[in-house]
Amino acid sequence: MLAFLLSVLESDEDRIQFTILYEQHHAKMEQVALHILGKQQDAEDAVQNAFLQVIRHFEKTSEIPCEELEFWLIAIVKNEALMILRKDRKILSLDDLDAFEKSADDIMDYMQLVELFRQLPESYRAVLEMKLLIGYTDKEISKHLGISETAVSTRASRGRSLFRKLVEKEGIHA
Amino acid sequence: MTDRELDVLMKRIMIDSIKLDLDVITNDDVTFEPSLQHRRQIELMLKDPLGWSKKRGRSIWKTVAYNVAAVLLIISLGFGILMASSPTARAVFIQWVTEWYETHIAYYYEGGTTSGEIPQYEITELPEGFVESERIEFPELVSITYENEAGDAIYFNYSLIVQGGASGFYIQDSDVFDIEVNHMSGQFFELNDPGSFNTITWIDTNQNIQFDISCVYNYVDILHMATSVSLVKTTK
Repeated sequence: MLAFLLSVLESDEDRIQFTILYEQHHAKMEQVALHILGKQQDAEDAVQNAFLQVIRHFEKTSEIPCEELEFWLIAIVKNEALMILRKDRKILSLDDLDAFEKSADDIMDYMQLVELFRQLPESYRAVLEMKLLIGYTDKEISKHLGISETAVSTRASRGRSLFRKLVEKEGIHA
Repeated sequence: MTDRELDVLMKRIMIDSIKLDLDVITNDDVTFEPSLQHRRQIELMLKDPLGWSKKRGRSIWKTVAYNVAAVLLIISLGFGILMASSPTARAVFIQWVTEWYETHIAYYYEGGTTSGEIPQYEITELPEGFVESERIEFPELVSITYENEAGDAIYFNYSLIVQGGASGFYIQDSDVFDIEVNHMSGQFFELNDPGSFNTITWIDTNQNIQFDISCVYNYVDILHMATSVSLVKTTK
């Protein structure tokens, strides 16, 4: 892993790419962090932690389509900000997916599905975003969320099952 | 629908949900006004991303623990030679000088022991879910890490008060309070940065040992851990 890490971001070309990525996206990332945390110092921590993750996963930036890169970065900073909130014990995990499922019965189209995802219990949304969008391993997610890897796997599986049920019911396709 | 197709669709849903989130966020009136410290960090990051990530990735305390060890070894070596050549110079009582700097506090030891193995202590009342995950032993310093499943860490260190030795703590951006742990005097360093490590340190003058515990918990929790520190095995 270390050897691989050393192979990325060591060349001038990679460093230039990283700087471009920072210049293009930092403002929005900062805004997201500040929106979630409300305090400048916390937001700065979240932004720095987010770029730490970007550096650690820099090889992924070449695999992500340009138009998706911004959302990949926003997902990272958002979850870093939420992690700070969790550490301060300002928010509690809401694990009640059963109650959420009941409210999902009226889903009719794709945009309602998107809205539904926004209302997903935070701990489920975070797991799914980190796993499917950011590409973190279960171990990385468990460290971020302070839950066991088994819990990560369970939440990912339950979240995917729920969405499978909904999209198949409504005939929504990729 | 295959698993892969589902994942692709879910990824699209997530991106579109973030787009909706951003619509709300970009209407915010709040402005991100970077502090000098943040600007400095970003400057360092852009200059050398990998080097910056390595430094930032390592917890402050790990750095301090190794610095303490380094200080102990370096100073002990220097004074040890002197003491070896002049055994009568050894003090029979211990004392320490506390020196305050802008960024750290240092305890310089006088008296104390010059030899002997370090006894084994442990925190007997840890927060739920924490277990010992790493133990580093030097002749005069023991550094124990406890971690929970989430990867949160509690660092417990103790060092023999050795003639000519020293220990140090990083205190920049900290408030410092004088405290007592089981009637032994010490200090509590509370970092102003949320999520950063707070540290408690105290000196047992009977056993010639300085202890410290560092973690993200608050004063009450850390003091509780400190008062539970117990001798597991004496090797003297």
